[in-house]
Amino acid sequence: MVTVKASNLSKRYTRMLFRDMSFSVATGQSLAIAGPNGSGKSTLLKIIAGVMTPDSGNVAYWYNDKPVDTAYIRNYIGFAAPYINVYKYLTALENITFAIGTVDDDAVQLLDVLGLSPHSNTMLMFYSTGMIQRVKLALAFLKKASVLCLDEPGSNLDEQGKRVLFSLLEKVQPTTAIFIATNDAHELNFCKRSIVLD
Amino acid sequence: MIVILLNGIVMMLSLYLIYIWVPPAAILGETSRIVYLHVPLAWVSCLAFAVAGIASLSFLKKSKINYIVYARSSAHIGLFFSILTVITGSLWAKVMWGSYWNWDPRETSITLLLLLYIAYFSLQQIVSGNPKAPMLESVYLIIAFVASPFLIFVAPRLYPTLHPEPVINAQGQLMLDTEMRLVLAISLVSFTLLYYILLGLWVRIYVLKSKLHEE
Amino acid sequence: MIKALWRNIQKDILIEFRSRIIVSIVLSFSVIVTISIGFATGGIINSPLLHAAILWIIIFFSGMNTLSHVFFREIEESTALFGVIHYPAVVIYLSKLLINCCVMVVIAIMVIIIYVFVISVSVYHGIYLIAILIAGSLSLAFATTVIGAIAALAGARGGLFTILAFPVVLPLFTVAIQSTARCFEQQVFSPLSAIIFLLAFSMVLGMVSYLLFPYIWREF
Repeated sequence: MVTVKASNLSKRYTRMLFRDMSFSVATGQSLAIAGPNGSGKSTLLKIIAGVMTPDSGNVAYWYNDKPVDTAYIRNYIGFAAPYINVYKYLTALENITFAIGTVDDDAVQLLDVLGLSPHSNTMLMFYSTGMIQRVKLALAFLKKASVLCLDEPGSNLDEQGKRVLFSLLEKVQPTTAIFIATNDAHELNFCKRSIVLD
Repeated sequence: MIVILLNGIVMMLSLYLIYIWVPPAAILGETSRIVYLHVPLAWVSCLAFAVAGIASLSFLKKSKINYIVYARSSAHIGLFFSILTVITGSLWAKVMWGSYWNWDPRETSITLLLLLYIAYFSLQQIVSGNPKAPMLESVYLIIAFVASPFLIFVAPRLYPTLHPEPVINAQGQLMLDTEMRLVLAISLVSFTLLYYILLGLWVRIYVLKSKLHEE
Repeated sequence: MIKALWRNIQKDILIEFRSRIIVSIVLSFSVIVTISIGFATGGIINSPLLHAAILWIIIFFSGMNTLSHVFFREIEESTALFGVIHYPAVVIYLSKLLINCCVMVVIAIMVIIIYVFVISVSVYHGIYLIAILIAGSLSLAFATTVIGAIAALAGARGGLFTILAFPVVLPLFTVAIQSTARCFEQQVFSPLSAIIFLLAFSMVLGMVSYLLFPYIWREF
């Protein structure tokens, strides 16, 4: 059981992106972050994932009601985003080995579901953008993390890919806290709650 | 204000002492008077570098932007002083050793310090505007700061030098009379005060500039 | 920790071998420069000091191509965050450091072999020479790996890394050149103090870099 508590987050770049933002999301819940381009969706997601520090405020992780040290937050997070590229000189399986450690049965199965099995030993530089997006999603789900941060998970996916994405989301939702930064109506609908940045 | 006044008085005093009061050194003659300028300049160059390094370290620890302002200002002053050190040193070298540049270990170390400052400012120019600029600058400065003892003290001693002893020590032997030591000490104090005042001014300029930018 | 380190190194080695940048550019750079110096001088250089200086300049500039490359690759392909969300920054630093060490030693060994082959130089203290080359190239890697990261994060390929690295590595450079020169002379000497200097230099800078790296390798 994980709870992500954000309190009084503020961040400014060239302009104020958000100020005094607080929310709390626990296992089994989901939060959508919406807003126009440049409104700070990705920034907020990075702050939630602990890879960026806010100007003020903080994000605290609680695992079974015990606080998690910031140095270990990484272990609780699966993260897929357009700005997190996978290694194009490695194959899908090698990317998984690098990120997760091993390729187990779940990994093989997931690659199969995502339709990547025939190409799992091909370097990603020969993949299409849609296939690379599937690899990124596979990596995020395979980590079996308690918190899932997805930035525009449906981008570059075809209809079948999106169906797979939602079935995967439905499957992990009961055991996972999900954050999705998106403007896609379908993905917004999936989340029970949402924040709109402006 | 009081510091500026005090520094003015000490400066005047040291000028009087350097040019009128103190007798010329035995072998070096009248040219020895440059030592009272050259050594304090070199001292401030090193001091400014150390202050910049320590300010960068404090920035990493407390991540307050003020420290970066101090580091940058100190480095600016240090660059200026190390250029002056090289100029006064090579003038003196021309008179004493016959040529402007001799690759004496001390000369080499001050040049390296100058190179470090130049590298630091190139980095600063390139990263300006980058949100990571303060971090990158301070990390570089700390690395340089850690490497500098090797630069200034260790390396020159490891290989055969032009001179039996570093310049300052050689001078120390010549300046056995207390008068000269006293003048050098006063001059050092006055230049350190000057550095302190300049640092304050520079920091204020930075702060005002960044305020102007915000408006 | 060891496992994580190994996975990072394995990944980097695979990528480097497949992209062939280090292999093709860096190694051929050192070969071409060495051969062209032999070509230009007709293979005759009389001063041991000059031999040593040329040797280290070749090693330094070959190193300049590779030492920051491992970081530039991550930044340019935006894979840096991929590494950061799976591994602590220090693991990434150590893996890059180890790779740089290996590449530098390979470069140094290769350069000396070609150098001795194309330029007539008499090596009187072969084992000392190898020891100094290894110690020197290791400390080059230790001293400049974090500077490579700085250059990569500053987004300036090309000159910046050399400008930043040169003043920092100059002390090790001078010591390495001085002691390498002695290897080309007949006189007996002990390279121990030089090697200790080089290793101490790399230990100190390596330790500081280890502590500093997590401050810059984040927030992508």
